[in-house]
Order: sequence, then structure tokens, then C-alpha cells
Amino acid sequence: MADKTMTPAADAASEAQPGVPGYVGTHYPDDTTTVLGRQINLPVYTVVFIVLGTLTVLEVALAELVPRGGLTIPLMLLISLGKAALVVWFYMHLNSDSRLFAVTLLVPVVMVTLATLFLMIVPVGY
Amino acid sequence: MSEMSLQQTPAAPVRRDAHGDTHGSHSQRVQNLKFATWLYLASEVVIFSVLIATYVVFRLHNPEVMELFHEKMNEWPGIWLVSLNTFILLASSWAMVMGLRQIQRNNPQGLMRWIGLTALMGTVFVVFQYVEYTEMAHKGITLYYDAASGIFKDFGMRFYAPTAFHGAHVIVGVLWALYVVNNARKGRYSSQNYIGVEVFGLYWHFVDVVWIVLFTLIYLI
Amino acid sequence: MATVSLPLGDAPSAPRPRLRVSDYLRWSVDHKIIGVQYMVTAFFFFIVGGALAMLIRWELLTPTMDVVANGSQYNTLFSVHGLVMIFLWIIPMMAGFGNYLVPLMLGAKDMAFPWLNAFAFWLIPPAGVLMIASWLVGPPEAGWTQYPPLSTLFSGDGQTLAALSVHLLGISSILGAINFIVTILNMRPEGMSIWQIPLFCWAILATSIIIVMATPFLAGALTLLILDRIAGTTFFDATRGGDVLLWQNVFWFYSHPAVYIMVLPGMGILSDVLSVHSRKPIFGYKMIALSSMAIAIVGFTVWAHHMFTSIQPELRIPFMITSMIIAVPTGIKIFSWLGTLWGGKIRFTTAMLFSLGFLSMFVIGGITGVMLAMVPFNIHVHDTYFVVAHLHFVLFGGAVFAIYSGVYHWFPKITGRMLDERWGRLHFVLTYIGFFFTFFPMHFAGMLGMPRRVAVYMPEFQGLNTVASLGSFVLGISTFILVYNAIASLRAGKLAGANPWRALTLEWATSSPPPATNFIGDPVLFDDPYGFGTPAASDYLNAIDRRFGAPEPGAPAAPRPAAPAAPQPAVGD
Repeated sequence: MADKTMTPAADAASEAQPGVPGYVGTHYPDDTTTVLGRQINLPVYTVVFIVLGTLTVLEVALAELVPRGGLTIPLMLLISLGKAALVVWFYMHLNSDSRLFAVTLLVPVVMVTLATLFLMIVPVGY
Repeated sequence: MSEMSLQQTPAAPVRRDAHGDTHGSHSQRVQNLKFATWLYLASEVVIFSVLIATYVVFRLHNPEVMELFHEKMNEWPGIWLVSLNTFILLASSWAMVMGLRQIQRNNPQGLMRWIGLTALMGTVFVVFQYVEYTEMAHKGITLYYDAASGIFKDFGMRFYAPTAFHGAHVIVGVLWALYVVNNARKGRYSSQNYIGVEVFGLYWHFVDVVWIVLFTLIYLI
Repeated sequence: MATVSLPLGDAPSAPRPRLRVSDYLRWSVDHKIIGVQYMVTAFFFFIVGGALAMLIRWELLTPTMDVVANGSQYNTLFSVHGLVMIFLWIIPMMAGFGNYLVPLMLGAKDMAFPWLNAFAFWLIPPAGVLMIASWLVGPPEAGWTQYPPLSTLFSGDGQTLAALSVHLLGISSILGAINFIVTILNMRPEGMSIWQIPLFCWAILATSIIIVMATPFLAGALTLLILDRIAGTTFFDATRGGDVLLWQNVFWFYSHPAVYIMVLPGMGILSDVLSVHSRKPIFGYKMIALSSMAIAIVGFTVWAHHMFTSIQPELRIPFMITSMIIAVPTGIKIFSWLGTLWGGKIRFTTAMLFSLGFLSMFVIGGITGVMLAMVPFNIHVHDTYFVVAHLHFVLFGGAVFAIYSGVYHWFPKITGRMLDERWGRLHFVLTYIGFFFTFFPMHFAGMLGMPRRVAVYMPEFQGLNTVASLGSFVLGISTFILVYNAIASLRAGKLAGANPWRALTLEWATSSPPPATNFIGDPVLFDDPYGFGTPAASDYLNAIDRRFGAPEPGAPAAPRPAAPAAPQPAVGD
């Protein structure tokens, strides 16, 4: 596992470029982004930011305008999870970086979620 | 057979140390640093989870306190200030990646402008959090156990511990951003070498992600 | 076998490194110096913690209170003893071995992050000062588990300092662990796959994963505890909206995996020592490596077996089952080690003796562990001396015996001189006997109902306790035999040469002690780190002797072929 992931093909390829010793490769995004088949004249980072902002507004509206209870809580959790995933995927470059980094993040996230659920289930106060 | 081949084996066989020089080629150093940063963030996930869990467990067992808390949050500035703050932190993350993009295009000036903006927005976040805490304290929500606070007497500590721990991370992040700007000013980054910016970016975005989760869990739910 | 590469060429031209004592007292980013710094610092705290243990056993010689003036003083003794031994001795000592050996075993010049490595070490001395200072300002009395409300309402200010100290040590070990993981996964030489690294590196890898995932739990809990103590919060105060069980849960989220943090590196040491000193390939390399990982994973699911008397009853059975499952990977290791020994050319060197000591004592500790996992038995002996016996069989009979074994095995590499084997054997015999008679009687005392953490006990337990105390004094004396042996051997021990034990892992393929860059030129690795008994291995080892120098004649080392260029393949090697 480690062998493959820790020497990414992209790295090896960029290192092979002549005359650039230790060249790591700069895969910065283009000025345009394709969303659902349409081209937008903004870099992907900006598009993601707009989505994040919209989701935040949606979330606050949901919390303030809709009476709490029923589906709102899972919905808000889902939105916040989606926002976190967007940041991790695009801003922290998990979309192009080693899979090992994703594992490094996911293992503790799953573990602490289970631990927190355990603490929620057991009774407290004594 | 073995004795003969023994003498003829070259002293330096094909197998060699992966990091031929001091501490490896640049690309290996980059991979090492990124991996180490991710491992560090993994441990941060766990420590934040302990503080968040104390809140979540309290939230689950004391819905009436939360009702009251949400009512308090509806008073000005309340939830609006926090929402604005959330937006500022999201924007600072965006500024961070835009800065990274500039240095990937070999434009240190752009990097300094964007990261400077990140630091500025981080500072604003901390200042607004201070304002928010002051408001909270006036409403009787204190870090220490305060029997005089009525229903909020054991709520404050569960509220402040995770948010203040996050705030401390933002402060560290602002200082780190200024350090990155200073490095950029001295010309230490280029399109060939921007790992210092990238590692800071990972940290900053992680702080942002933690806030995304905290904001929903504490203020909205 | 045919493609084996041999380290030929000229003798190394670099001068033998001459390190002065002062080199070890200042900041250095050389992993070898840092490794020794870790080990010496940890050993110092072993002496401190051992002295406290002697006081405890002296007190328990008689059923009445005679050494300490009151119960609080006794509480302090065992609290500081536990904290020092776990956080300042075993964990840093294992980190010391890891620091010294992992880069060498991987043929690397240093760790991935040398500066971070030094920083992680230099957090330890201030933490140690805090721990000792905690005794002076109003001692911690809550045991190493620091359960509230003992640690919040009934302990002096020292408890805060102790918590801060453990916090610092936690940061240190997280930073160290990140360094180990990156080094082991990223810094292997080309051609060394993850299935060719020595099993010690596998053990350190598994340990480091546990440290990164588990230690922050303790950090979080300690943060809350410190807030409770200094900021007026009541996270753990049940009378004021707090939850006592929260501490127990989160503490054992960390501390049960921490048991494996302490013993897995020892198991790594054992895998190397047993194979080398019985001249046989390790039995089941992959199973030993993967069982380390299995222990790391399952270790996270068993914490509540420490809380059978405090969690709700319906949760006991699930945790009983997971606790028993974790004996399976441990059993895989034990049987693999026995399979390694079986039919080997065993040499009873001191390193081997301590490894065999580990095998025998750790099995006892493991079996009492399975006994303790059983709910009815656990409730019967909960908080009795049976638990004390179990944990010392695992941590002393396990971790410390492995540490001793590692010290005798790698001392020649670290210093260039052999430890004296006669003193070593005396050390082993006294340790083994002293250890057994200290801790074995505690099983009986526990089953008869003697509670732990008491200074005064029922007179009918005096016989067992006197035996335990006398045994512990022998154990205490035996430690100084090692100290004497180390100092004497440093001055006048036999020169070790590069590879006194004729081992195949890379740390032996360079001079002893290794030069600052670890290897002159590129290290040459043997395909199979445990591939003893083949002509190729024999050739490789002879070539190392020729290139880096053989041990001084008369040194207690592995027998060598009579002539360096003996024509017939020495298959027995």
C-alpha cells in the first residue's frame, strides 16, 4: 500500500521533466471550471467558495426559519458534513494527493465518531 | 560458486539509500512534510473530538438548556455575528488557496496579498469571537461553574472549551500566516518550492473544517 | 540468493566517531545521539521510580504503617511511582530504541524530521522536572489513572503539575510517533519493500499509529481535568453537573491502547533477538507483522474492561468478548516465537536469556489478562493485588525484560563494546528470581482479597507481602548490576566489531558505533532480514566482518567460521 501511494505517479512523472531537478509539479487549477457541463469563468477555488457560502446561508435559514425538530437536525448535519468534505476535497487537495492522506484523516474521524456515539448512548450524571 | 561471485560483486550495488543526499530529494521532502502534517491533523481530530463530545453529550441530555440558549442567540447580535464570523473564516480559507495558486504561478506578490488577507480575516474572526464571548458573559454564560447563572450554570464550560480551543488554533494560524508572508517577502517561495505555504494551508483549512462542524453543532442544532 | 550483494570495497576511511559526554548534554539533531539521550534520561527515571517502589515494598513488609506517616504519603508513593514508570520510563525508553535503531535498520541517514526529533526529546526533561516538582508542591494522590474526584477534589496542587507533565510527554510522544510513521513508510531504501523491514520497525510503526490516534484522547481529558482544577469548571464533578465516568471512558480510550504502546516495541525487540540468537529465520514474519497491526486495531475496542464495576452491566459482555479476542494476535506472536526457537541453534547470551524471560513471564501476564477479561472473575478481584500482579507481569515481565534484552543486544552497536556476559547472566538471574518472587505472590494476595493502594493490610497477608518485599529488594539490587556492567564495559569491554551477533539487519552493516552519517557510501541490504542458514547469508556476514572488522577475540559473540575465507559454505549460520 505504502509503496504505491507514497511515490505517486504524478510525482515521478514531473520529476522526469528534463532540466528541472527536484521539480515537484504545480497542478494549480485553470481559470475556468466546468460545473455540470457548463463552463464558468472562475477558478475552482472560487466556485467552491461560492457553494460554501450558499450552503452556510441555507443552513442558517434552516435553523432560524424552520421550527427545530424532525428532519432539520439531520439535514443541518448533512449540510455541514458536505461543507467540510468540500473544503477537505478541494482546498486540502485530497482530490489529487496521495490516498494515504485520506486514510490518515478518515481513520481517526470514524474512530472518534464511534467513541462519541458511545458516550452519547451510555448514561451520564453519576 | 559463492566465493567467486563474492569477489566480483560491485561495492555499490543498485540498491541505494532512497535519500541520496542530506535529507532526500525535494519531492520526497514534500511528501514527508505533507504526510506528517496529515498525521498531526489526525491527532488534532481526536483531541477536538473529546471537547466536542462533552458538548454533544450535554446537548443530548439537556434539550431545555439548548432551547434557552437558542432564544438568547436570537437577540442581537447573537447568531448573526457568529454567522458573519463563519463566513469570514470560510473566506479566509478561500484567500488561502488563492494565495497558494499565486505562488504555484510563481507570483510571490500575489501570495503575500492573499495570505495577508487570510491573516487579516483570521484576526477579525478572533476579535468577533471576543465580542461574542463578552456578550455571552453578560448573559450569564461563564466558563466556571456558577450557581447564580441558573440554567446556564454548567453549560458555559461545555460551550467555551471547544470554541476557545478552536480560537486558540486560529490565533496560532494567524501568527503562522504572518510568518509565511514574511518568508514570501524574503523570497523563500517559488513555483518550485511552496511546500511551506501548502503545509500552512492544510492547517488553516483544517481549522476551518473544525469551525464548520462546531458552528452547526453548537449554534444551529 | 544468487543476487545477493556484498559490502566489499575498501575499509571505511572515516575515523571512528569520538563522542564526549558533553555531546549528549546539548541539542543535537543526530538520531543516534537523541536515541541515547532518550535511553539515559528514561533510565534515570527508572531509578527514581524504582526507589519509590522500594519504599512501597518496605512499607508493606509489615501490616502496620511504619515507613510512611499517613495514608496520603503512601498514596503519593504509588501515584508518582506509576506515573514515572509509565510515562517517563517505559514509553521514552521504547522511543529511545526506536530513535536509535529505525533509521539504521532502514539504511537511512536520519529520521525524516531530525529537528522535530530533537524537539520531541527536549520536552521530556521539563516534563520530568514538573513531575518531580509535583511532589514538592502538594503531592498527587490519585494514582496513575488520576480518577476524579480523587484527582479533582482530594489531591494537592501537585496533581495539576503532574497532569501538565503528562500533557507535555503526550505531545512529545505524538511528535515522535509522526516522525516514526513518516520515516518507516517513506524513507526505506529502494528495493526494501514494507515486507522486508525488520520486525522491530513493524512494531514501532504499529506503536506509532496507536500513539497518534490514542494519545490525543488523554490530552483532551487532561485539558478538561486541568480546567477543572484551575478554572472552576466541573466537567468531572457529579454534584455540579459533571460526569465522573467521562474521565474513565476517555482515559481508557487512551490508556488501554497505551498498554500496547508500551509492549509492542518490546515484542519487536523480541522478534529480532530471538531470531538472531537462535540462528533461525523468524517463523511467520507476515503473521508477526500483521498481528502487531491487529493488536493496534483491536486495542481500541477493549477499554471498558477496566470499568466492569462502573459501566452499566449489559455492556460488560461485549467488552469481555473483545478483550478475549485481543489475546489471539498476541498468541500468534507467542507461537511464532516458539516456532522460531524450535530446532534453532540457541545461544544463551544475556540478550537471549532476557527474551526467554519475557516469553515465560509475559505468558503468565497474558493468561491473567484473559482471566481478568472474564466478568465474574474480574468483579471478584477488581482493585485487588491480582490486578497489580497482572499489570507488573505485563509491564515488567513484558516491557522491561524486552528493554533489558534490547540493551544487551544493541549495546555493542551503540558503544562499540560488548557488555560483560558474566555480569549479564548474574543480572538476569537476580532479575528473574527477584521479579518472580516480587509479583507472583501478589496473585494469591489478590485472590484472597487484599485491596491494592493500601498502606495497612490484614495481618494474614503478611507472609505473602514479606516474600514480595524481599523479592523486590533483590530486583532493586539487580538493576545496579546492569549499571555497573554498563559503566565497566564502556571503559574496558571487549571491542564488538561491526556485527558481533552475525545479524542480517542493516544496523549491523556499518561500524560500531556508526559514523555520523550512519553508513559510508550506500548500505547494502540482505534480501531477507532473517534469512539465516543459507550460504548467501554466510557470505554476506563474512563480508561484513572483512569490511568493518570482526569482534575482538574472546568477546562473547556468535562463533565465526575458523578462517574468514573458509571455502565450504557454512550452512549452519
